[in-house]
Amino acid sequence: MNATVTRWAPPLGFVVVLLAAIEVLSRTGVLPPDIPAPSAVAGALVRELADGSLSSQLATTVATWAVAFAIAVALAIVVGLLMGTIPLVYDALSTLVDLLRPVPSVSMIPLAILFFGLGAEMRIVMIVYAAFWPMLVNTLYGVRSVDPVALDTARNFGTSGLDTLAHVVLPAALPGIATGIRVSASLALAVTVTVELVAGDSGIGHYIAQAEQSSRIAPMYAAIVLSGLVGWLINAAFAKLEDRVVFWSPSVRRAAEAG
Amino acid sequence: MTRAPVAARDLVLQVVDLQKRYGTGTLAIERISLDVRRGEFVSIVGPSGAGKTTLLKTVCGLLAPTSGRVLLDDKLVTAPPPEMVLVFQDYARSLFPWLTVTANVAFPLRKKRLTPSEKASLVREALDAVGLTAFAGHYPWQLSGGMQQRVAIARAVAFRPEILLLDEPFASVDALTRADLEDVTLRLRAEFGITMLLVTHDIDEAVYLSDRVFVLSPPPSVIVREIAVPLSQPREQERTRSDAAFLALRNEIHRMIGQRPERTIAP
Amino acid sequence: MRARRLLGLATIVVLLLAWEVTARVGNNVYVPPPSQIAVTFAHEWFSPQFAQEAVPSIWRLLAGFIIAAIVGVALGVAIGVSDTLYRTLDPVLQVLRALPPTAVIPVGILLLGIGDWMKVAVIVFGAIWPILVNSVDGARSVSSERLDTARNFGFSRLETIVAVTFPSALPQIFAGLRVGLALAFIMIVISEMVGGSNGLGYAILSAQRTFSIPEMYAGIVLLAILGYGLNALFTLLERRVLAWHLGSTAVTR
Repeated sequence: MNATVTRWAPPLGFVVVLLAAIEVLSRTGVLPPDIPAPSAVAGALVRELADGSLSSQLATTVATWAVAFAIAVALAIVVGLLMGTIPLVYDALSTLVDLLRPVPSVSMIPLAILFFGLGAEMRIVMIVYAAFWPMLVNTLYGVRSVDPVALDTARNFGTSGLDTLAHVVLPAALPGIATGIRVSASLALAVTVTVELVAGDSGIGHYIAQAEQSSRIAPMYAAIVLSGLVGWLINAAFAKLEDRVVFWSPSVRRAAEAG
Repeated sequence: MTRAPVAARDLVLQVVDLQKRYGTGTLAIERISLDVRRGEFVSIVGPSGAGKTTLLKTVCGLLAPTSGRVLLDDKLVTAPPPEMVLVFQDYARSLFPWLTVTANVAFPLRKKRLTPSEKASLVREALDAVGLTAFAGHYPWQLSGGMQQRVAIARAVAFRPEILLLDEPFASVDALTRADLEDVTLRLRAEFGITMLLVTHDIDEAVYLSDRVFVLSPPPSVIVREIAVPLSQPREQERTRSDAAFLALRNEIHRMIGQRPERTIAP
Repeated sequence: MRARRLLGLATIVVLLLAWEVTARVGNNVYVPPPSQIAVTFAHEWFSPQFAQEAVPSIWRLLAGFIIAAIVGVALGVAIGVSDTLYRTLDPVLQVLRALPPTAVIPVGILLLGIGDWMKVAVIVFGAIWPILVNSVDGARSVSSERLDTARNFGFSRLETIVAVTFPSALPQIFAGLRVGLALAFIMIVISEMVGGSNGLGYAILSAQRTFSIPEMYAGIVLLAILGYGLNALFTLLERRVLAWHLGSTAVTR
């Protein structure tokens, strides 16, 4: 208990002091009206969530994120496994990957709008496209980090290709995959909000843009804070998952090599 | 064991009733008193985990003692004094990979008010003394482990300290390299007159190198015994190590390691 | 080894040819053949158009990134070397880092309008977090032996930070800078799409809205080329500054 307090007291204290200072400066008129008091933002957040306008947008954002993220992960793992285990596939595709990966996915937004309009379909395609690359890179990294001794051992025992894949390659690649999932999840959320902001018709990003245009200052900040909270939760959750996987994966690997 | 009292100015280092507790509260060093005379080679042997690194860091002034004190030339050590330099066991983590060998050795000289040519000659002499003149322009990671440790030693020597503290400096190299480095250290002492305080778990090494050996108990550490090593100088790897007296001494120390004493040595 | 590269290039060539053929045959306005895009590219971007659209984007990006780099590294190292600052601020940094950076663009528009400074400010806000966090980590990961060595030789705290902590942290700092550069790129594109009247982001989006399709593709290609160029420059810089690091890690592997 004491250790937790010692750990969280300084940063929380800092944040409280900072927010209090902004509150005072805002209420006394020192800050421009475009920077609202934290209490106003908090109030707006609670209000908008309670009466449904922000909460439905939140649901849209999370749903879009979840679907697109799942598709991206599945696609990337399949392609990553193929590329990582079949040299021919790797040679054929790696140059293409190197060519496309560094291009910021957001440049493709106008292209996506062109083909898919302004709805959920467009957003999902964009997020899948964006989240695919880091997931692929990390999966590849994981797959290619398989201990060659383990592979030789499997071959020595006459293990079939599929069995080797399931029992040697996959477990060894899990840490890389877990890292990829974490990075991809955060990136997917950022792209979700971005696309909603630029060309969306719903979601938190769209809500923020609308609020700015109609000068509803406190709700705008409230939505931004909400997106930050969601981002933090997602990152924390998948970081924890990654830690778990990395923690028990060496023993899984040892079991796979032995068995 | 009693000795004739030594004149104060002949003592480079005095450690008086040193106690050191870790931040967690564990007692690393219960009570240690020892002294080192000018020009001596003194070793401290103890099992791994006996707090030997902690002892050296405290002596050097990098850590503050929980109680007791350290005196260098009769002056109290409260911060690392320039007359005392510590050479770490892990040379890879103590050298600077972004600097060449020459730059590494010259690093401490930035703090000294010397002309560039004076600094250059100090560096040159140090590199010559450890036999690395040919590698002056290399980077540490291009060198073998033994050579890297030589760079660390050269860096310490270039600073021209009065006393060198060596923390298991040869533990991370192979046996052949270790013998080489031991002899380099002896040569440095002879050439530059630097007093040496070396900490090691290798009893043979301690006896080979030293004029006196202190035996350390496991933590909470105390000194089990002080042993004089009156073997002939100059020491030679083959001759000295096959000497009957050498073997007797190292056997005696082997028996002592791990013991807690009934009494500590009288100051 | 070379056979592999050829296979990779062959794949790309085959894909491009397939695109060219299907585009010509299909005659879909939304999918012009690569050849047409190339012609449009040459026409649009080797012209005053470039100065009007690309140059503002480039200088805003560079300005924002450089500010983020200087502030991020300086602050990051300062936080990293101070236990108090680290314990107080690092958790806050980790939370702020999770905020989708583009979400603050409307705030930028509100406070600063839609001009250059909004874009630079927004780029700084987006790019600074990975730079900060990595600089903090780098500063904290200096080996105790190196710090003790500096202290042993009488270096003051400030001297140690400059002569030991900073060079030691450089590899990690550069990792953060690389991510920051990618984020800066994203921020300039989006800020121009959302609140701009010029710049590449704006140009691409408005090309889509006015159905100038080949121009849109050409703009995307230019963005990609810009990205490669910046990355290549960064890698060059990294190789020079971190030559020692590349050498040492190659050895220890």
